Amino acid sequence: MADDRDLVGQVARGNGRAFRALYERYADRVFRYALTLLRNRHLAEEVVQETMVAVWNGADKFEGRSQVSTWIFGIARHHAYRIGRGEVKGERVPDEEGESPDPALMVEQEVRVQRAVAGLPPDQREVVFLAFYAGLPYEEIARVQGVPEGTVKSRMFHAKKRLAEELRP
Amino acid sequence: MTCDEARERIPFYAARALPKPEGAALLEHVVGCELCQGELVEAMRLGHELRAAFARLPGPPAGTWLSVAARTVGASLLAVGVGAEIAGLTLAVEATKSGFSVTGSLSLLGREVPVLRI
Repeated sequence: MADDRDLVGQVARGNGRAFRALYERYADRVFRYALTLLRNRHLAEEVVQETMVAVWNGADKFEGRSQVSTWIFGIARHHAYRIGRGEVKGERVPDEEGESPDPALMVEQEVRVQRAVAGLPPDQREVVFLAFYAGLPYEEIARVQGVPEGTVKSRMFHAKKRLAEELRP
Repeated sequence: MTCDEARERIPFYAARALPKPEGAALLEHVVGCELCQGELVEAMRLGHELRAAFARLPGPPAGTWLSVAARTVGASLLAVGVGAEIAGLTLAVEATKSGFSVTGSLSLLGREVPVLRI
Protein backbone atom coordinates (compact mmCIF):
# COMPACT_ATOMS: atom_id res chain seq x y z
CA MET A 1 0.00 0.00 0.00
CA ALA A 2 1.36 3.44 -0.94
CA ASP A 3 2.29 5.64 2.01
CA ASP A 4 0.83 9.11 2.41
CA ARG A 5 3.83 10.88 0.86
CA ASP A 6 3.71 8.67 -2.23
CA LEU A 7 0.02 9.41 -2.62
CA VAL A 8 0.55 13.17 -2.31
CA GLY A 9 3.33 12.93 -4.91
CA GLN A 10 0.98 11.14 -7.29
CA VAL A 11 -1.80 13.63 -6.59
CA ALA A 12 0.63 16.43 -7.46
CA ARG A 13 0.98 14.81 -10.88
CA GLY A 14 -2.81 14.78 -11.29
CA ASN A 15 -3.45 11.13 -10.46
CA GLY A 16 -7.17 10.88 -9.66
CA ARG A 17 -6.95 7.36 -8.23
CA ALA A 18 -4.27 8.44 -5.77
CA PHE A 19 -6.47 11.36 -4.79
CA ARG A 20 -9.41 9.04 -4.17
CA ALA A 21 -7.16 6.83 -2.02
CA LEU A 22 -6.00 9.86 -0.04
CA TYR A 23 -9.62 10.94 0.38
CA GLU A 24 -10.60 7.49 1.67
CA ARG A 25 -7.71 7.63 4.12
CA TYR A 26 -8.47 11.10 5.50
CA ALA A 27 -12.14 11.97 4.97
CA ASP A 28 -13.35 10.37 8.22
CA ARG A 29 -10.51 11.85 10.27
CA VAL A 30 -10.95 15.33 8.84
CA PHE A 31 -14.74 15.16 9.31
CA ARG A 32 -14.34 14.05 12.94
CA TYR A 33 -11.71 16.71 13.53
CA ALA A 34 -14.00 19.39 12.12
CA LEU A 35 -16.87 18.00 14.17
CA THR A 36 -14.71 18.22 17.28
CA LEU A 37 -13.87 21.85 16.47
CA LEU A 38 -17.24 23.08 15.18
CA ARG A 39 -19.76 20.58 16.57
CA ASN A 40 -21.87 20.89 13.46
CA ARG A 41 -22.18 18.13 10.85
CA HIS A 42 -23.08 20.37 7.91
CA LEU A 43 -20.13 22.64 8.54
CA ALA A 44 -17.88 19.62 9.11
CA GLU A 45 -18.84 18.32 5.67
CA GLU A 46 -17.95 21.69 4.17
CA VAL A 47 -14.59 21.51 5.90
CA VAL A 48 -13.94 18.08 4.34
CA GLN A 49 -14.80 19.41 0.89
CA GLU A 50 -12.69 22.55 1.17
CA THR A 51 -9.78 20.65 2.71
CA MET A 52 -9.68 17.96 0.04
CA VAL A 53 -10.02 20.48 -2.79
CA ALA A 54 -7.11 22.41 -1.25
CA VAL A 55 -5.11 19.18 -1.04
CA TRP A 56 -5.75 18.53 -4.75
CA ASN A 57 -4.79 22.09 -5.70
CA GLY A 58 -1.80 22.31 -3.38
CA ALA A 59 -0.25 18.83 -3.54
CA ASP A 60 2.56 20.08 -5.78
CA LYS A 61 3.51 22.61 -3.09
CA PHE A 62 3.81 20.04 -0.29
CA GLU A 63 7.51 19.98 0.54
CA GLY A 64 7.48 17.09 2.98
CA ARG A 65 8.87 19.08 5.90
CA SER A 66 6.06 17.80 8.11
CA GLN A 67 3.96 14.66 8.12
CA VAL A 68 1.19 14.54 5.52
CA SER A 69 -1.32 14.28 8.36
CA THR A 70 0.03 17.50 9.90
CA TRP A 71 -0.29 19.25 6.55
CA ILE A 72 -3.86 18.03 6.00
CA PHE A 73 -5.03 18.78 9.54
CA GLY A 74 -3.44 22.22 9.22
CA ILE A 75 -5.47 22.88 6.07
CA ALA A 76 -8.59 21.50 7.75
CA ARG A 77 -8.05 23.76 10.77
CA HIS A 78 -7.72 26.82 8.55
CA HIS A 79 -10.98 26.00 6.76
CA ALA A 80 -12.77 25.05 9.97
CA TYR A 81 -12.07 28.46 11.48
CA ARG A 82 -12.93 30.22 8.23
CA ILE A 83 -16.17 28.32 7.86
CA GLY A 84 -16.86 28.60 11.59
CA ARG A 85 -16.65 32.37 11.32
CA GLY A 86 -19.24 32.22 8.54
CA GLU A 87 -16.87 33.35 5.80
CA VAL A 88 -18.17 30.73 3.40
CA LYS A 89 -21.45 31.48 1.64
CA GLY A 90 -21.93 34.39 4.04
CA GLU A 91 -23.60 32.14 6.59
CA ARG A 92 -23.35 32.40 10.32
CA VAL A 93 -22.55 29.22 12.17
CA PRO A 94 -25.68 27.57 13.44
CA ASP A 95 -24.98 26.52 16.99
CA GLU A 96 -25.44 22.81 17.43
CA GLU A 97 -23.52 22.53 20.63
CA GLY A 98 -25.84 19.84 21.87
CA GLU A 99 -25.43 17.75 18.75
CA SER A 100 -23.83 14.39 19.34
CA PRO A 101 -23.92 11.00 17.65
CA ASP A 102 -27.07 8.97 18.13
CA PRO A 103 -26.82 7.90 21.78
CA ALA A 104 -28.65 4.68 20.96
CA LEU A 105 -25.59 3.62 19.00
CA MET A 106 -23.17 4.43 21.77
CA VAL A 107 -22.52 2.64 24.99
CA GLU A 108 -23.04 4.67 28.12
CA GLN A 109 -19.37 5.23 28.86
CA GLU A 110 -18.69 6.51 25.34
CA VAL A 111 -21.49 9.04 25.73
CA ARG A 112 -19.92 10.18 29.00
CA VAL A 113 -16.53 10.50 27.32
CA GLN A 114 -17.98 12.47 24.40
CA ARG A 115 -19.72 14.84 26.78
CA ALA A 116 -16.58 15.29 28.86
CA VAL A 117 -14.55 16.08 25.72
CA ALA A 118 -17.24 18.49 24.50
CA GLY A 119 -16.98 20.32 27.82
CA LEU A 120 -13.28 21.08 27.38
CA PRO A 121 -12.11 24.50 26.12
CA PRO A 122 -11.74 24.35 22.29
CA ASP A 123 -7.92 24.42 22.26
CA GLN A 124 -7.72 21.54 24.74
CA ARG A 125 -10.42 19.58 22.89
CA GLU A 126 -8.40 19.92 19.70
CA VAL A 127 -5.17 18.72 21.34
CA VAL A 128 -6.96 15.69 22.77
CA PHE A 129 -8.36 14.79 19.34
CA LEU A 130 -5.10 15.29 17.49
CA ALA A 131 -3.11 13.26 20.01
CA PHE A 132 -5.48 10.48 21.01
CA TYR A 133 -7.35 9.94 17.76
CA ALA A 134 -5.09 11.30 15.01
CA GLY A 135 -1.93 10.13 16.79
CA LEU A 136 0.06 13.31 16.09
CA PRO A 137 3.18 13.86 18.23
CA TYR A 138 3.12 17.06 20.27
CA GLU A 139 5.58 18.87 18.00
CA GLU A 140 3.26 18.21 15.03
CA ILE A 141 0.24 19.37 17.04
CA ALA A 142 2.19 22.55 17.81
CA ARG A 143 2.62 23.09 14.06
CA VAL A 144 -1.07 22.51 13.37
CA GLN A 145 -2.13 24.92 16.15
CA GLY A 146 0.69 27.39 15.43
CA VAL A 147 1.81 27.52 19.07
CA PRO A 148 4.99 26.54 20.98
CA GLU A 149 5.35 22.88 22.03
CA GLY A 150 5.13 23.90 25.67
CA THR A 151 1.66 25.30 25.07
CA VAL A 152 0.52 21.98 23.60
CA LYS A 153 1.91 20.08 26.60
CA SER A 154 0.18 22.48 28.96
CA ARG A 155 -3.15 22.18 27.13
CA MET A 156 -2.88 18.41 27.21
CA PHE A 157 -1.93 18.37 30.90
CA HIS A 158 -5.01 20.40 31.85
CA ALA A 159 -7.30 18.47 29.50
CA LYS A 160 -6.15 15.12 30.85
CA LYS A 161 -6.56 16.28 34.44
CA ARG A 162 -10.10 17.49 33.81
CA LEU A 163 -11.13 14.41 31.83
CA ALA A 164 -9.70 12.10 34.46
CA GLU A 165 -11.67 13.92 37.18
CA GLU A 166 -14.92 13.84 35.24
CA LEU A 167 -14.61 10.25 34.09
CA ARG A 168 -13.31 8.75 37.29
CA PRO A 169 -15.37 5.59 37.94
CA MET B 1 13.47 13.17 34.13
CA THR B 2 11.50 14.88 36.90
CA CYS B 3 7.92 14.00 37.86
CA ASP B 4 6.68 17.27 36.29
CA GLU B 5 8.41 16.47 33.01
CA ALA B 6 7.06 12.92 33.14
CA ARG B 7 3.49 14.08 33.73
CA GLU B 8 3.67 16.40 30.73
CA ARG B 9 4.61 13.44 28.57
CA ILE B 10 2.40 10.71 30.03
CA PRO B 11 -0.78 11.67 28.10
CA PHE B 12 1.18 11.70 24.81
CA TYR B 13 2.64 8.29 25.65
CA ALA B 14 -0.87 7.00 26.35
CA ALA B 15 -1.95 8.52 23.04
CA ARG B 16 0.90 6.63 21.31
CA ALA B 17 2.07 10.06 20.17
CA LEU B 18 5.38 10.38 22.01
CA PRO B 19 8.63 10.02 20.03
CA LYS B 20 10.39 6.72 20.90
CA PRO B 21 13.45 8.15 22.70
CA GLU B 22 11.21 10.26 24.92
CA GLY B 23 8.97 7.25 25.55
CA ALA B 24 11.97 5.22 26.67
CA ALA B 25 13.16 7.99 29.00
CA LEU B 26 9.65 8.29 30.41
CA LEU B 27 9.37 4.58 31.14
CA GLU B 28 12.75 4.67 32.83
CA HIS B 29 11.36 7.28 35.22
CA VAL B 30 7.98 5.61 35.69
CA VAL B 31 9.52 2.28 36.69
CA GLY B 32 11.00 3.94 39.77
CA CYS B 33 8.13 6.30 40.61
CA GLU B 34 4.93 4.97 42.10
CA LEU B 35 2.98 8.23 41.67
CA CYS B 36 3.80 8.47 37.97
CA GLN B 37 2.89 4.79 37.56
CA GLY B 38 -0.59 5.66 38.80
CA GLU B 39 -0.74 8.61 36.37
CA LEU B 40 0.30 6.37 33.50
CA VAL B 41 -2.30 3.72 34.29
CA GLU B 42 -5.00 6.39 34.48
CA ALA B 43 -3.83 7.98 31.20
CA MET B 44 -3.78 4.59 29.42
CA ARG B 45 -7.36 3.89 30.51
CA LEU B 46 -8.42 7.36 29.44
CA GLY B 47 -6.65 6.95 26.09
CA HIS B 48 -8.52 3.73 25.40
CA GLU B 49 -11.86 5.40 26.19
CA LEU B 50 -11.08 8.49 24.11
CA ARG B 51 -10.05 6.49 21.05
CA ALA B 52 -13.24 4.44 21.27
CA ALA B 53 -15.39 7.55 21.66
CA PHE B 54 -13.77 9.44 18.75
CA ALA B 55 -14.05 6.36 16.54
CA ARG B 56 -17.80 6.39 17.17
CA LEU B 57 -18.20 9.84 15.69
CA PRO B 58 -19.86 9.71 12.26
CA GLY B 59 -17.98 10.12 8.99
CA PRO B 60 -18.95 12.46 6.14
CA PRO B 61 -22.09 11.70 4.13
CA ALA B 62 -21.60 9.38 1.16
CA GLY B 63 -22.19 12.21 -1.34
CA THR B 64 -19.24 14.24 -0.07
CA TRP B 65 -16.81 12.50 -2.41
CA LEU B 66 -18.95 13.37 -5.44
CA SER B 67 -18.89 17.04 -4.45
CA VAL B 68 -15.12 16.94 -3.99
CA ALA B 69 -14.57 15.00 -7.20
CA ALA B 70 -16.71 17.40 -9.20
CA ARG B 71 -14.36 20.22 -8.14
CA THR B 72 -11.17 18.26 -8.71
CA VAL B 73 -10.79 15.04 -10.68
CA GLY B 74 -14.30 14.99 -12.12
CA ALA B 75 -17.06 12.78 -10.77
CA SER B 76 -18.01 9.75 -12.77
CA LEU B 77 -21.77 9.76 -13.18
CA LEU B 78 -22.14 7.01 -15.75
CA ALA B 79 -19.83 4.50 -17.35
CA VAL B 80 -21.12 1.97 -19.83
CA GLY B 81 -19.13 -0.57 -21.75
CA VAL B 82 -20.28 -3.05 -24.37
CA GLY B 83 -18.37 -5.40 -26.56
CA ALA B 84 -16.03 -8.32 -26.55
CA GLU B 85 -12.33 -9.07 -26.90
CA ILE B 86 -12.29 -8.23 -30.59
CA ALA B 87 -14.22 -4.95 -30.50
CA GLY B 88 -16.00 -2.84 -27.86
CA LEU B 89 -17.38 0.58 -27.06
CA THR B 90 -17.26 2.53 -23.78
CA LEU B 91 -19.12 5.71 -22.91
CA ALA B 92 -18.51 7.80 -19.77
CA VAL B 93 -20.33 10.84 -18.41
CA GLU B 94 -18.49 12.88 -15.79
CA ALA B 95 -19.27 15.98 -13.77
CA THR B 96 -16.36 18.40 -13.73
CA LYS B 97 -15.71 21.81 -12.23
CA SER B 98 -16.84 23.49 -15.44
CA GLY B 99 -19.88 21.31 -16.19
CA PHE B 100 -20.17 17.86 -17.72
CA SER B 101 -17.95 15.89 -20.02
CA VAL B 102 -18.88 12.95 -22.20
CA THR B 103 -16.17 10.69 -23.53
CA GLY B 104 -16.42 7.63 -25.69
CA SER B 105 -13.84 5.23 -26.99
CA LEU B 106 -13.76 2.30 -29.35
CA SER B 107 -11.56 -0.69 -28.69
CA LEU B 108 -10.40 -2.89 -31.49
CA LEU B 109 -8.17 -5.93 -30.96
CA GLY B 110 -7.07 -4.61 -27.56
CA ARG B 111 -6.26 -1.07 -28.74
CA GLU B 112 -8.39 1.77 -27.43
CA VAL B 113 -9.21 4.69 -29.70
CA PRO B 114 -10.99 7.83 -28.38
CA VAL B 115 -13.93 8.59 -30.62
CA LEU B 116 -15.94 11.14 -28.68
CA ARG B 117 -15.13 14.02 -26.32
CA ILE B 118 -17.75 16.66 -25.48
